[in-house]
Amino acid sequence: MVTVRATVAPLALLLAAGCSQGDPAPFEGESCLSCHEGIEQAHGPIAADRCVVCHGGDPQARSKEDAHVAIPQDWAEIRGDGLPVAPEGFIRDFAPDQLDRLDPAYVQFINPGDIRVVDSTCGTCHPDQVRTMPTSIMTTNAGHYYPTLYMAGLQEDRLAVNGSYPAVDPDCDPSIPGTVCALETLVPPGPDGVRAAIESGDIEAAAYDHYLAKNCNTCHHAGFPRNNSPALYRSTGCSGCHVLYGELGVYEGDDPTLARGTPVHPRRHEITAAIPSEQCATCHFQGGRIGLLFRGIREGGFGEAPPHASPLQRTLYGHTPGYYFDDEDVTNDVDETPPDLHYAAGMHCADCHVGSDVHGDGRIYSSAKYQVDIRCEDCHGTVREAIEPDAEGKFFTRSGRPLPQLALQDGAVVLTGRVDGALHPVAQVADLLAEGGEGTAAMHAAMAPDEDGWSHTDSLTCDTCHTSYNQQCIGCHVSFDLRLEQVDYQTGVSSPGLTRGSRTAYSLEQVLLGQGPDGRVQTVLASQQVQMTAVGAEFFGTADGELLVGSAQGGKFREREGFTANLGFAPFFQHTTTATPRTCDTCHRRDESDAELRRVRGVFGHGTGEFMLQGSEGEQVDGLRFVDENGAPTTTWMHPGTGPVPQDAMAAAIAVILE
Amino acid sequence: MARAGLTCLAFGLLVSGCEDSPQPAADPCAPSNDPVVRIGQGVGGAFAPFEDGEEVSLAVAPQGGFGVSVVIRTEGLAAGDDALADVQLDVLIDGETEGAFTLTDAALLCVDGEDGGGLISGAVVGFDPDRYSTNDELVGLDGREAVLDVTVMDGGMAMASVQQTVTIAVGG
Repeated sequence: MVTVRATVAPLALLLAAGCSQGDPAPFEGESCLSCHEGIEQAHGPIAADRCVVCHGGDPQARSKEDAHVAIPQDWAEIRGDGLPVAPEGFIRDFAPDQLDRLDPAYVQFINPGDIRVVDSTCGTCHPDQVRTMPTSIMTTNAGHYYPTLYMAGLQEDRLAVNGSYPAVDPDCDPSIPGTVCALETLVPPGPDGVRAAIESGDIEAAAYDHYLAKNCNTCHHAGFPRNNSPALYRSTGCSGCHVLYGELGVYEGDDPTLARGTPVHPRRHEITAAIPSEQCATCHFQGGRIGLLFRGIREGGFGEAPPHASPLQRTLYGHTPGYYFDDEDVTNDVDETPPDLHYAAGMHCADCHVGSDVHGDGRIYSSAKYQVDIRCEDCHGTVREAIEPDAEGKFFTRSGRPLPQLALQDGAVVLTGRVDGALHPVAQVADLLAEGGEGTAAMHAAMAPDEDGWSHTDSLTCDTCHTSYNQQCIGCHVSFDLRLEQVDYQTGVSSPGLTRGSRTAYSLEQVLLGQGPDGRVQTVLASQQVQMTAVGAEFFGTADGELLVGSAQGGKFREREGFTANLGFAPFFQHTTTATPRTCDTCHRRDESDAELRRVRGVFGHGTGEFMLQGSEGEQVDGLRFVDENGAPTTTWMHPGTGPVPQDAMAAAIAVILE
Repeated sequence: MARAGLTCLAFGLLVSGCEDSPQPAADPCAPSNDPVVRIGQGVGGAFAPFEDGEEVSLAVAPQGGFGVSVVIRTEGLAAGDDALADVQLDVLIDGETEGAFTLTDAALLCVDGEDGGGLISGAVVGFDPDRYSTNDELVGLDGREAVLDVTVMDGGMAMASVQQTVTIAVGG
């Protein structure tokens, strides 16, 4: 019985007792395959009939009931009434706290890759990865909490305090930038706490806590997603990445006992490192939207669609058909939102993001910006030198992390695709510049070191120019409405206060530049421009619909000392890489006209006047402005070391008039 | 005859009485003369059909947006591993259309077993985001009676519809 439990477990729960083919066949040893005949061997090193190695259960039992790990008696109590109708024993939409309460043996039976049991499953052969995974940003989700709370003035430092999983790093070294020793889960105040907050006149903190707990907890490895919509289906822990789910979440393998056609099941009973981008996008469609942008999909939800846009008429990520777009204008022959050139070439996220980028290194980082260290230069070299392997022919990032997919072949760097094994030539910038020839004049002008030895690439990150488009999401209206309830995806329990975010506008054209964490200029996005509105209810001693935060004119901008309109901005790599860079006049003036001066100043954060946000006092704030007339910052930035382009550099760039 | 044949083709199996229509099939995933659509809720293979007036959750979707997530079950439409269907998802309040969305080439999977038939999971019936853009407009839907009008057309252009009256519960 050993083998099949793994993937089969969830499906098996739906079956009537016993094998679908009748009584179990005679067997020797573990008997799982007597029912689950034909199921895929999940993992090369583990024999197909060794199911219990991963799934537990009784391999000698002669009935399904005896063989499978029993559904815990408290399953219904733990599930509660906040989640949709489900078959008995179904846990594939459980929140982290619910999984914590379940019998670990049952969690293991359903998903041996879950973080709560992985020490005795995956960890027996992969101890290094399993050691670091609980503190990895993929598990902690820390970057979703502190920026919002810090920008709202609700925590002092730009370091993580909360996570979706209570991680601890016993060997922590606070001197390492961006690291902390421990994280605790965010527990929003219950009804009594909300009532007390209202009485004290300060409901804003409670509103932010509920917003974060109810909107940001479905994308990390400690809990399941809602698992109720195409393209959202996945598991938890190691299985969250290494067990692939199709868009429809249905099983396509050969186990006859597994229902075909009903979610939530992996595509096949297989563990793999060949992880396609679509698997990553089950989480990364949110936040920075890189899982969409990388594939050339533009998120909608901004009111009326462009008149000639091409919407995707599919249900994706819990949205109505038509929410996403693959082309802005079908009447021309230009794709305004093309996929990243790497994706177009057949590469996937896992071709760049391997090792500690995803598994972590045991530290607790406050955001992905600290954990993810891959840079364009790690594969493509710099304008001065190509990358070189070590004596054994291995390549590494600047930080020393192995890049096992790179190799030298006939003197050229090639990357072997993780998903399809295809070979991709990896262009070396220094070699391209050295080759010269037709068409390289612009390349030299843009990147080659000048007579003083300076190159644009010394001051700008590669993506600043090599980004085909960025999606600015301007204005984020968050409401916390106490008249209604909503499920908290940390606990899985419904509680008073419906939180909802909506956006004002977007721009695919507006380029913003700021200073990235490495000190170079980088593309900047409007990010987390929260305006909060809190609405009262009679249950809490206020009038139904009474505005407790914000006003009829608009939501309340966040405030910190010294700033009035605390809009959020962050340097961000869009993952819409293009070989054809932005032109020089994106950031420099074409002529001496006032219009050009205004346009270029807008690129550096002086505002454009196009996207005006209205605050709770009726004040008008430019949604794309982050410096004053002199180039000094007017708003706090959420990531240390980031901000507007330094004033002298900004002035120098604006002063340039192209010939 | 040609005209009659075209008529039958155009209306597929919707109209009973075509002389050449196939006999009703026992297989709920095969075309029949009287296809049926039901909508309800559930995850993990569970299906609880909506009852008249039942409260259904209008949930806030990730990264903005909102809608009623429904499970669509069919009988008598062509369903299977490679079967595709177009689905019209409308919502009406007081007879007025408050949202209309078209799902094209959706996989219409076949579920075996006693309660077998075609299945489309996680379809979202939404409200027009231009008409329900503010918090108050969304909250105003809470407790309202609405009709979810779902039409499924399979690859053979056979169609079936359901109009289900529900009560909107904003949240969840």
